[in-house]
Amino acid sequence: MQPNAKLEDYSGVWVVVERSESEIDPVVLELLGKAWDLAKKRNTSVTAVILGKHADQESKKLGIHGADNILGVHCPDVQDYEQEFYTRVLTELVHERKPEIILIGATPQGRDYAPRLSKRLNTGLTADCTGLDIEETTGNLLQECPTYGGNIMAIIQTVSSRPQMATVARGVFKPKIRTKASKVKVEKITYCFDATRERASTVDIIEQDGETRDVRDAEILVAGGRGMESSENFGLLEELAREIGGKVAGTRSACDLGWIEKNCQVGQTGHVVKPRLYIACGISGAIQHTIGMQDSEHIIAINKDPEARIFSIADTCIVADVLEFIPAFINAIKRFRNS
Amino acid sequence: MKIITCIKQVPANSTIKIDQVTGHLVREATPAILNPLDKHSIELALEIKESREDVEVIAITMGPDQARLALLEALSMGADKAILLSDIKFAGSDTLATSYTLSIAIKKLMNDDDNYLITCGAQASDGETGHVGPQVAEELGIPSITGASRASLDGDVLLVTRGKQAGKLEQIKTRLPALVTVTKGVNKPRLPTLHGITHAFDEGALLSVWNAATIDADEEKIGMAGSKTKVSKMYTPEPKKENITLTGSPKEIASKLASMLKEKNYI
Ligand SMILES: Cc1cc2nc3c(=O)[nH]c(=O)nc-3n(C[C@H](O)[C@H](O)[C@H](O)COP(=O)(O)OP(=O)(O)OC[C@H]3O[C@@H](n4cnc5c(N)ncnc54)[C@H](O)[C@@H]3O)c2cc1C
Ligand SMILES: Nc1ncnc2c1ncn2[C@@H]1O[C@H](COP(=O)(O)O)[C@@H](O)[C@H]1O
Repeated sequence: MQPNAKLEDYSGVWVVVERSESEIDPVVLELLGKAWDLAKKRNTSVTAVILGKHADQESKKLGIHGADNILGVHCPDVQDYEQEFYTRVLTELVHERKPEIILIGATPQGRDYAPRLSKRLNTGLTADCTGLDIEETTGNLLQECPTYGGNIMAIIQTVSSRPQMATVARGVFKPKIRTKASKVKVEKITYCFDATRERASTVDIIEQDGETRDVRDAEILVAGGRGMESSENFGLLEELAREIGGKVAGTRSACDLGWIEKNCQVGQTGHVVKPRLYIACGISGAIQHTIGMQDSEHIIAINKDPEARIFSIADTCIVADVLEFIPAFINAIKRFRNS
Repeated sequence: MKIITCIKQVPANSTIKIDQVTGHLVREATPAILNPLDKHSIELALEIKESREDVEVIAITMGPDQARLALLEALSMGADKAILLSDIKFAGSDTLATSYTLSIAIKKLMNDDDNYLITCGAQASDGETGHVGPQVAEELGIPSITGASRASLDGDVLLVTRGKQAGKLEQIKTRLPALVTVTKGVNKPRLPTLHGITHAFDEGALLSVWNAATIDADEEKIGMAGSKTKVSKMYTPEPKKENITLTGSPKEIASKLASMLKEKNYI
């Protein structure tokens, strides 16, 4: 916060836009929906800030999802994301226009510049929020975030400085659609960025091997976690998936251990999935995982620990050893299918 | 050149609990460990040290006196020196205050010499913010590269590979001084050696303890006073959903489940 500014000088909710491939990252639309709620409670408006030349092109989409204003900053010298460019431009805009709240996607890009931005602005930043609301008595932003591996939730406030900054992962909030057509104001500025200090610059972008299987559009997913104990035991899941016409997915721990391919990972840093049926086998249910699958139509969880967090979001709970249960389950399915 | 590796002692996750009456963390019963990713960041520093002549590796942590155990672990892996930043005035720091404290200690350590690299974990397993690394870099006015899955140093050029979006990797480089935060994929941390452990316990020579006065900290910027975020509440998440629990032997449950799935047309 600027030394001579007061808390009351700040108003408005900003969402910083990120584009991936050639379209807006889904997290931006989710954040706009939440920003819209927050702005209503604070009696103010939502501004989508877009660094790059796409302000006009994207204005309709951003408007429908909750933006009242669009601020486009075009810089002829910068084509892509760059840490120092984002930090510097956003710092100057914040000093000049004083937003009260800034929401940023907890993507690799957001994680890269948001901490630096908060430091340069000398204000608080809360990482990976799973809930955002306004406290009625103070008007402060209440930022809910999981801590200690999701075992504990904390409510964090930025009390004595502005803006209040938060990052949010994909899939946490639902995008909303405005039914009443309202006019979106687009403002564009051109910014000259002279890179005086040493920067980090991209040398190359490498495409990884093509997807061998895609878990995103499967109707039934059989997902395994560390409780499966070995890569051989993942074979059981393959067998179950074949039996019920589904695909196999995994937690980050399972992917990190090499039990299943990385592109089958579900969760905050993997895919967000919404199958008709999700069978969670030996998965603890850390929030980073459940963010990616909690909207599945029906969730079955199998875990030997009755206290496992996965049970709090499951529809059908089974306290059992997966390695014993899955073979019995496969047999039962065969029997029922033929009956 | 110096490689400074910032490490943190964290509670071993799974055992942490909240006192249902007071709403505070029950810390006493919780064993403390070195943040798992910080082992990878120490390993990166040591690998670079082994690949050239001129490197000194210094592990640094801010924490209570018991955090010296994390530093001893770094020394026994092979770090040359360790610094414990410990002062009651640092208590209650959020990431902004922590990064301020770490960076002025690093400034003191470097004494205007610009030839250094800082390595950090991509995040600590307690707060999982991933803020401290980039914020230390911001305070020092140097570039930061986050989330490295591969990193190497060639002369004074740091070259890093990291995930960009699903299915894409980015190669990115910068010149020293710079800061890099690492993920698990970057390397396989070595185990402490017997020689390392002996060396680590030669504490007097290797481990220094600095307080707020030693690093000439601005009291407005450290601890509770320097923190912009405040934790206003902590709680154990409540189960939200109505659900059913199937009971019986694995075989019985399997039958119940299969019949339920058939009823709902899943199979
Ligand atoms: C920034 C960040 C991003 C992350 N992104 C993701 C992500 O995208 N996706 C993701 O999944 N995770 C992610 N994580 C990791 C996440 O926090 C958890 O660590 C992870 O989901 C745990 O995986 P798990 O459930 O397989 O393993 P564990 O937590 O180790 O759980 C294993 C479970 O198996 C049970 N079990 C053990 N043996 C048996 C048995 N024989 N029968 C039945 N049950 C058994 C245990 O009771 C336990 O509950 C992320 C973490 C961070 C910090
Ligand atoms: N108190 C601390 N002392 C030293 N390094 C720290 C401290 N807190 C965080 N770090 C470093 O910052 C990284 C990210 O931590 P965090 O921002 O808390 O998720 C850790 O892996 C450490 O490298």
